[in-house]
Amino acid sequence: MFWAEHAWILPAIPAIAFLVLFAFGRFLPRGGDFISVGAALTVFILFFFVLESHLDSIAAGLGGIANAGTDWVNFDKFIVRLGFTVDSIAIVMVFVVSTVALMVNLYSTGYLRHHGKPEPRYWWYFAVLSLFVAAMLTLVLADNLLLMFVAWEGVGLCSFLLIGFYYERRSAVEAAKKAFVTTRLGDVGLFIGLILFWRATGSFQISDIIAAAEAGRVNDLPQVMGDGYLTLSTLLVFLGAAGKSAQVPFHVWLPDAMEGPTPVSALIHAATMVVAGVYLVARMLPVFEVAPGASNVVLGVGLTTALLAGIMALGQNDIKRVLAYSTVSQLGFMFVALGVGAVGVAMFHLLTHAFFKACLFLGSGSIIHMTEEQDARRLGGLWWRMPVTATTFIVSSIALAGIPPLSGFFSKDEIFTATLGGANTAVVILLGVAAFLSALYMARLVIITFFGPPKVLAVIRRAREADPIILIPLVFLTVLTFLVGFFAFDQVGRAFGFPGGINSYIYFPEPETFHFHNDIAAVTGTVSLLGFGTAWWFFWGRNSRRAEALRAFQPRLAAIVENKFYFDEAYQWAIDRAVLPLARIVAWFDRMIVNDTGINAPADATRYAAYWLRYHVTGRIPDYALLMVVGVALAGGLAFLLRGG
Amino acid sequence: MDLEYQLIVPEFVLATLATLVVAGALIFRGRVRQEFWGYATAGALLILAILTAVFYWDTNDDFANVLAVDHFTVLFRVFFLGIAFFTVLAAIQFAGDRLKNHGEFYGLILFATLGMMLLGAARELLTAYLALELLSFSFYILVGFNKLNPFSNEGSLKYMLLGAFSSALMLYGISLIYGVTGSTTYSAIDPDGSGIRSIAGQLANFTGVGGDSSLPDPDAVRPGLLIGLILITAGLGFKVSAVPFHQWTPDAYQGAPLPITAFLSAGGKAAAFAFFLRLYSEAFLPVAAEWAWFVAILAAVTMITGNLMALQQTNLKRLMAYSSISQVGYLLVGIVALNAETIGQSQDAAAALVLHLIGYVATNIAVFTAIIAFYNRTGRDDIVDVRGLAERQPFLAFVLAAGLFSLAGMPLFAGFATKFIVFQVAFSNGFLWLGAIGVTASFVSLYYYLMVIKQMYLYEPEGTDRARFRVPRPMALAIALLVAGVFFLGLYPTPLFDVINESTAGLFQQAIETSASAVR
Repeated sequence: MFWAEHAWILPAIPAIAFLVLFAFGRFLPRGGDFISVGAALTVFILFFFVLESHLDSIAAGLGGIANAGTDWVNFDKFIVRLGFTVDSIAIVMVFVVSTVALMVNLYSTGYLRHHGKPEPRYWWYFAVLSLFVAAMLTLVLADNLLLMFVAWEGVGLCSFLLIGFYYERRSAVEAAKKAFVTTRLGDVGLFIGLILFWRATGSFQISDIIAAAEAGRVNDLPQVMGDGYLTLSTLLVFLGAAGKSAQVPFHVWLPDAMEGPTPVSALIHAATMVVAGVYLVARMLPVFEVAPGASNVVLGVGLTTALLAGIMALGQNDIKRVLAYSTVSQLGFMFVALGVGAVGVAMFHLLTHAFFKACLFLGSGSIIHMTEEQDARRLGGLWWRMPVTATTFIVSSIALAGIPPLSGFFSKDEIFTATLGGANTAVVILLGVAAFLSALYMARLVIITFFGPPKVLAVIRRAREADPIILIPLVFLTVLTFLVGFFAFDQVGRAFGFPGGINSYIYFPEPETFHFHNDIAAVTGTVSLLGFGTAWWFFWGRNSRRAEALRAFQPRLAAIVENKFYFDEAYQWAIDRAVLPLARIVAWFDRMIVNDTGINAPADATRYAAYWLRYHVTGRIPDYALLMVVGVALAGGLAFLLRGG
Repeated sequence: MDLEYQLIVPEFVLATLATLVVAGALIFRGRVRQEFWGYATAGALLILAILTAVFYWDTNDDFANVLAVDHFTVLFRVFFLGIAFFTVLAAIQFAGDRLKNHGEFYGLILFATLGMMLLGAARELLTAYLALELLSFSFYILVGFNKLNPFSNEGSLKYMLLGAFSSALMLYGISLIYGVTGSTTYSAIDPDGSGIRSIAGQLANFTGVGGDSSLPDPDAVRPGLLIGLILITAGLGFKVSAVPFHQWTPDAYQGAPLPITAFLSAGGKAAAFAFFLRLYSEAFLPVAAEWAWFVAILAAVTMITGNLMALQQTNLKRLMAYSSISQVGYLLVGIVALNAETIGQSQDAAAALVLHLIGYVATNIAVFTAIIAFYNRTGRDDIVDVRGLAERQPFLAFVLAAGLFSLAGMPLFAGFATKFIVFQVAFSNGFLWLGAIGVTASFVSLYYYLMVIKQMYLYEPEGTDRARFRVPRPMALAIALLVAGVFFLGLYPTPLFDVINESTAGLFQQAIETSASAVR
């Protein structure tokens, strides 16, 4: 039980690595990258100790939930714990975070070099990467909402710093700002939400809040809103989750976040940080189920996102942007699963998605690193030049599309099964469309990137297979992509030591087993193959003229898709027309009323008083002594007045 | 009566050490490098602090009813030794460059530390007075240690003359209290039949419950009690430099060699407050209502005057002097809050006071060490002289900025967490107006701290000397440790707070024993 109870060591290690790198990184050989890699490796190894002690506790019938920690603040009734919980959801998240973090750390040591020379600020990159890992592990292990929120902002900060890593580039700065501000909007909601929960329950502990919500004790104190209070708080928390997980209408920041170095996209903007929203909702799901209407909002937002992002991915030509929209869409799938109350399913898809998406991003990074080109239309024919990258990329794409027997198939199939049981048919059909779209856009990306004749000669000349340090993570993640799908089977799960398959393990209160129905599997498999077929029909070789024809047939529709439904433009318009004018009024009020009158007047008065007060300092000893005597005498007089002698 | 000398071994060791350093430096004059005495003193202090913490923490005893050796004493012993350690570390280069007779210098620092330790332990008024005088005499000499500097002489003379005056006030107050209660012992916990008469026991008469009836009619001696309390408070007010007994402070701070200014502002204050807290909670708690109003007025006037005067300063040392005066105001709030409904609340106030004291001292030493490092290089100490320090020595600039932010009470730093707790205790013990003044005064203080930070960060270096420079390793290490402590306290004060809670609980033992109703 030691490791489960001392899980705080996991975030502490990369936190220390950050401090070391922050203080001394620039002086160390190789920018101290080995410290960051070493920290990630240690966390990865320690994870298995935590897992073992966790499984022991299940085997011993202790329920597998370990809490540990200490009081951070403890005044009166205001108690904040520095507490950590290891339970099944946390275990899954720690597995994802530690694995992908290790792979990305390794990969980055190769990626952030050009011809063997490290890029500028190499040490800073690894410092922030370590800080991110520390914050992310704190986030998933925190047992209370406030600590989680601190870590939540921490990962947001790291995301901001890493998107803007190339801050010489204007677009990177803009993207970093956009990501930060957009997620902030959601974070404010989350913060208000957790304060509302605290006000109603007097605790930040997640377990307390869940217990209070289930007992119907979360309502506003004067009883104005009644149950509405619970729904409001829950939806505000969801606002934070949607912001972080880039759900519609907050999805706009994620594709722009691709301005950061590609390994960062793999770690933060595909596999770990963006699933924090999913994780938060999964943790709080009992509250969502009690709050009237909250689950339906989650379902609706998830479904909308899955569909819209799937369509948007079709109109993109930048490899990383296609992958970004695909991430948004897959996150939508996870929220759909949460919306129908299937935590295990959502976490399972989170797990499988983390590996194949990380692999896809790292693969695209390999392409970008070697060819210095990320527009898929200028690539093409890379299959022969970069066989390892191409193979891993294609395998992961197939997984994402949901073709058996790769992991994506199992998890997506699960989502369909759960949805069939928990929502009406229209939802299932729309979800099917989204699944079809994912197969379609992935196949399109693969075809125009890797097949067909090379489009630009200079690009194809540069294309060679990358260094082993870049390929090893790719291969490792591909292997995982193969393997984790089979965790769904009870037999496999047991062989690894889990009681039952992954699904029945993840969520204790209502064990769910893997529902493998041949007919559903056949349908989802067919839908995915259909997506592939469609992609072949439109994009393979000379077939692409069909795509051109389609586009010429409906130019305005094509423009809408390519411009991502004009979300960005609409936001910009709203900012220009509504936010800025309002800001001007506020600024005027601030300058004239608050600053010139409210602040400066008392400040001037203070300065004036201080000016006169200084004349009591004469520098002469008799005066000093006199003041003391006067003080004592006055006090004596007052004593008889106040205390009546 | 058997005297348990083993209880005060650290004091003996320190006294021996001080004598050895003074004598050794005379005997080996010219044969040993001057720095040796500094490093030897620092090393000895560190070892002594660790050994004291290890061997005495579980002690809860009493030396002849004169010195208490309890958690509170041990906490402050270690605290004072730590202060002296950091002061000596900060002083070594300074002393080497600008002072003579190092043996005497470090020896006097050790004697002052001895005075502090005795003061924190004393539970008898005359013993405390003697300890206070040992401390003060050491400081009179140390302030004037730079003989050839007229400012140093002026500061020392002013400090000494006014100090003598304040001692007279305090002694008169002590004699009045003795006249009223017939005792100079603070409190006697479990007199086990020995029948020791104590101040706290006698003062319980004033509340009408408990106490010794051998006392004359409370109403008849009441004026004596009131005047006695006022005079003692005034004497203590001088030592902690509360307004209007504060005027020696800027002059002494400016004149003293910089490390002594640091020591005075950290150690001197801490010792006086240890005395203050023990006296007022162990002995005077039964009549809290009789003195709390006076301390409250002192606190309010001190916070306001200290901060307003600081706004006007152009010299770093004088700025820090007024800054420390205003900090005393916040600390006095903790003393005022001892006057509470229940003993538990008084205990909270005592713990909050000690926590703020430790946070303040750690921050102040960090700031002063940084100023010393700057002064060693430049020989200047006006606010405009730190212009562009962020360019020349980013580490020092960072430390100064962090320290000043902490003194202003910004979150992340110790100053925020500890001040927050002090004001919170003041609020919950019913001193809303005092807390409000404190918060407002903190706002004002941000202005003058930012003035320094602005000079460091927003301007380019000026003058002939603009080169980057290095800070000696031991000093940089000391500063880094202190700043790390400031951050740690600001982010996670709970562990230290628990230790302090345990230490201050002992101060209220008799108050609890004489039953809650008797105390009020």
